[in-house]
Order: sequence, then structure tokens, then C-alpha cells
Amino acid sequence: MTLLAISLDAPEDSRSFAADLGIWFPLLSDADGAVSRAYAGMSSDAAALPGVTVIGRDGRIAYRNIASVKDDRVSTPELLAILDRTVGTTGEAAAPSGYAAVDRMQVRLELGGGAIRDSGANHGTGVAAVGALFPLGHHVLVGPWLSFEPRQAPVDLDLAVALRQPFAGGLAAVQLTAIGGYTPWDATGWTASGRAGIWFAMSPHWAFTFDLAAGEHRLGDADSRLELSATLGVARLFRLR
Amino acid sequence: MRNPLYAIAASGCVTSLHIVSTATVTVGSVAPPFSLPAQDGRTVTLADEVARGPVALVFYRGYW
Repeated sequence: MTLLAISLDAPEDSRSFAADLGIWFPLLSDADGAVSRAYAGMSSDAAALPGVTVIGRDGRIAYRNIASVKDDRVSTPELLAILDRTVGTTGEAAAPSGYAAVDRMQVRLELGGGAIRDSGANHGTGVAAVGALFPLGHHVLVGPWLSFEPRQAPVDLDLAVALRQPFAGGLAAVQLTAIGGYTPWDATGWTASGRAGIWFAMSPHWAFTFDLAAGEHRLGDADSRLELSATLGVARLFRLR
Repeated sequence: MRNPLYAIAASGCVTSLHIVSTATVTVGSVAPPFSLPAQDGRTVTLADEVARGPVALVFYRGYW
């Protein structure tokens, strides 16, 4: 089920309107009114008549309601019942695929700091990470992960597997991530860590991330380092199809 | 119009629109094709969306 909202507003006006109301479905700009005239009709103030049209999988009009009085508009519960009756959408997502942030790939850049316990002593450290997480459904992500930490080898080559619980309509999620890999500059080096985090999409293209991480680096038989860190980051969101 | 109640009553009147044209599409007719720009710069084509499943079009004006 895809929801498309259409007005005569310019795309830039729709952009601020969408930002104000937190709208994630497409707001289409019918600047010359041709689509509005074809589907709804016009009023004397040169705007489209408000209304709802449902189009079935066969490309034919399954339902339409045009309102000239505010109270004639179909309510959300009525519309859901109509959709169920006309095109049988029960159980399907109301948002079009590709607009929910949870459907998007995340390319993350994270910076932070923390402490490393090394040979019985604690040291402060900066940390950085770059990763790409591909969604496998709503609750699982997987992808390559690179970690940088100046007290360790130059870079860890890791694989990240994340479990998440979306909220706020798919615009945010709490996320638990397991990261493991090895350090190519040290034949015996490996790393494993766990992260608890949250991300929030500020637009269809960008999200902020915050994570707390605990992990272990082992660079040799006896050289084990425990690391605790917190990172803030940004994620660029990419539509996969 | 000093009394604020007049203003409230007047504001209620503008919720009825004077119709100057109505669309000719009817239930069962083929949906007229279109491609329109979305707020994120993407162009949305009705046929592409219908290919993925049913589509609900909501025509809106401001916060109506």
C-alpha cells in the first residue's frame, strides 16, 4: 500500500511542511493543477478540492471521496476500513517502501572517546569507526565495520551484526550490535565488542547515532585489552531500491 | 465584529468550498497516469507505484 499526498504547493514548500509535521510519505507537487483537476476538481480559490482516491492493483479507481466541506472528509479510521474493503490491505505497511528510515542502508561515521585497560593500567583514548549496515528486515542489520583506535593496530576489519527495535514509526531504533573481526597488521590480533545504541533519522537521508561499546582486543597470546567507549555519529541513509 | 464570537462564527464559514470544477473519474475507471516531483526531489510515477500494490492519493490544501 502506497500513500501519496498531492497539493499545488511547490516541492520546497512541501519540504518544510513535511519537516514541520514529521511526514515521511511523498508530498507530490502538482504545480499546474492538472492531476488535481483530473482526480479531484478545483474550488473558486484556485486550489484542489480535498479528497481521497484509492487505486487498486489493476490501475483502476477503487474508491473516491471528494470533500467540499471540512466535515465531509473521510476520517483516518474510515479510510482504513475503506482500504481494507476495496483493496484488501490489512496487515500491510501504510508507508510506501523506501521512505521509512528502517528500510534504508546506513553508512556510519562515528567518533568518540573512552578508556582502555592495558597491562593493568587505564588509558584514555579516542575512537573512530566507519561502517555500512544493510537492513535484513526491520530487526536485523549486517555489514562491514572498520574501527580505529590509536592505542591498537591502525585499523580493525570487522563484521557487524545488529538487532534493533524500531520506534517512532520507523524513524528511530534502539540497537544492539555485535562486532567481531581481526587486525591484518598482527597475525594473531582479533577483536570482539558489543554495543548498545540508539539512532534517530532527522531526514530521509541523515540520522544521528549514539552508542556505548565494550570490547576486547587481543594482540598476541597474553596481550588483552579491555575497551569501553561512547561514540556519537552520523549515518547517511541510502535507499536500496 | 468587536465580539470575538463573531470571528469564531466567521471562521467556521470558510470550511465550505465553492466548487468550480469537478473531476470526471469514476469508480472502476482507469486511473489517469501522472508523474510528479516529491519533496525530496524524487519523481513519483503512478504506474511504478501501482506496480508495487494499491495506492491511496490524498489531495490536500494546507492543513485541510
